[in-house]
Amino acid sequence: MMMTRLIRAIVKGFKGLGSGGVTINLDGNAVIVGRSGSGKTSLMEALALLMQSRGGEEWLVLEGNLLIIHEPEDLAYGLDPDEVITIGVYYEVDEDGGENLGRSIGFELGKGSVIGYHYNFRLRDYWVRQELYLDNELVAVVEKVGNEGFMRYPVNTRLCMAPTHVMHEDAFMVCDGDASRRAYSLSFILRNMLKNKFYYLGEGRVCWWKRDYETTVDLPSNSVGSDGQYTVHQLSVIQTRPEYEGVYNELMNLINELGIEGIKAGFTAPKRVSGYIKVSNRWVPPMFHAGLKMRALLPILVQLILTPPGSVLLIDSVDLGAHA
Amino acid sequence: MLTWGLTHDELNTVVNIIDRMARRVGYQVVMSSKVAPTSNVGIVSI
Repeated sequence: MMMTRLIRAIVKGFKGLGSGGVTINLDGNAVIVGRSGSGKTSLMEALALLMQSRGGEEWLVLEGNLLIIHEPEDLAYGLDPDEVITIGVYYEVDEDGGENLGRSIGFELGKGSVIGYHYNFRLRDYWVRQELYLDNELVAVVEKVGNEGFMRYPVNTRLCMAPTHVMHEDAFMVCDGDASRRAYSLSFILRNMLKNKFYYLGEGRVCWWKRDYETTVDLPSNSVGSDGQYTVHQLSVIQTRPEYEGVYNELMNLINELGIEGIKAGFTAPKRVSGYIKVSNRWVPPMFHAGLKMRALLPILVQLILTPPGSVLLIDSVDLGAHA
Repeated sequence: MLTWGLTHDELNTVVNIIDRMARRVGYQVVMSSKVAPTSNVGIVSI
């Protein structure tokens, strides 16, 4: 099966994680468990921030589709601005993306090869260091110092531009010579391998029930964000389009397991759509009367249906509403 | 001990549903939780 798999994540200096940071190793589907304040949300937000910024954005994207952080200072809130924030990810090459792409540009990768990428950032002087790994072996290091860019490994040389581009091959381009060829190719593979392959469901999803829902929404197609319109809008799409018929029936079965008899989205007025749930053989409109359990779970179920094969899906606080 | 919201059984049901769906469609799910579910998915403590 074609799969992109996140097998390791390293986050240091970001929000609740502090300079000690955290490293997690993953083998397929997993639950990250920790008490309140242990940094679970910080870890997931760091990964979402990196992934929403990939593809050539300059710096980490603070006002993005997946995650909105208003000021650069918020990245390191309460931390020393001299601290370095590190976000590192290791993805296993899949058959669909990396292996074929690698072959097409003369780079031999096999299924199971692991590409690692670290973005390091210091707030005080906007210093950036990017590292690229293949199977845990260092392939390239580039740095932004002031407004200039330098390659530090495999050779010490000047870059054509300051390497602020996040997870993009252009960050590894040297001005002359072919010292960056390997890193350029590998970074290209990584970027393309992860295209449309990352989805994030944050804690903020609980807001979904707080308002009536307009049918005209302009929200990201790759995550369920904090704006409640998204879930009900997508539910209406899922239940009306023929291609979703199979998964819609699956969703109904899953919801039944949780004691909810039915769920649907429908028009309450022109251009307004609301959600309904069926409990004790009675439809209850609108959906915000649903209990906390349903409010927390429905966005998850909708996102499960919308996530395509081969992706990585992060769900923060799957136990939303539960108190330990 | 869970006092309100999801019970531990419900958390297990939810995590198992998510795991099942991910395996059926073919994607990887990484979740976070304050309490560890009793299920087949990997548990990573931080």
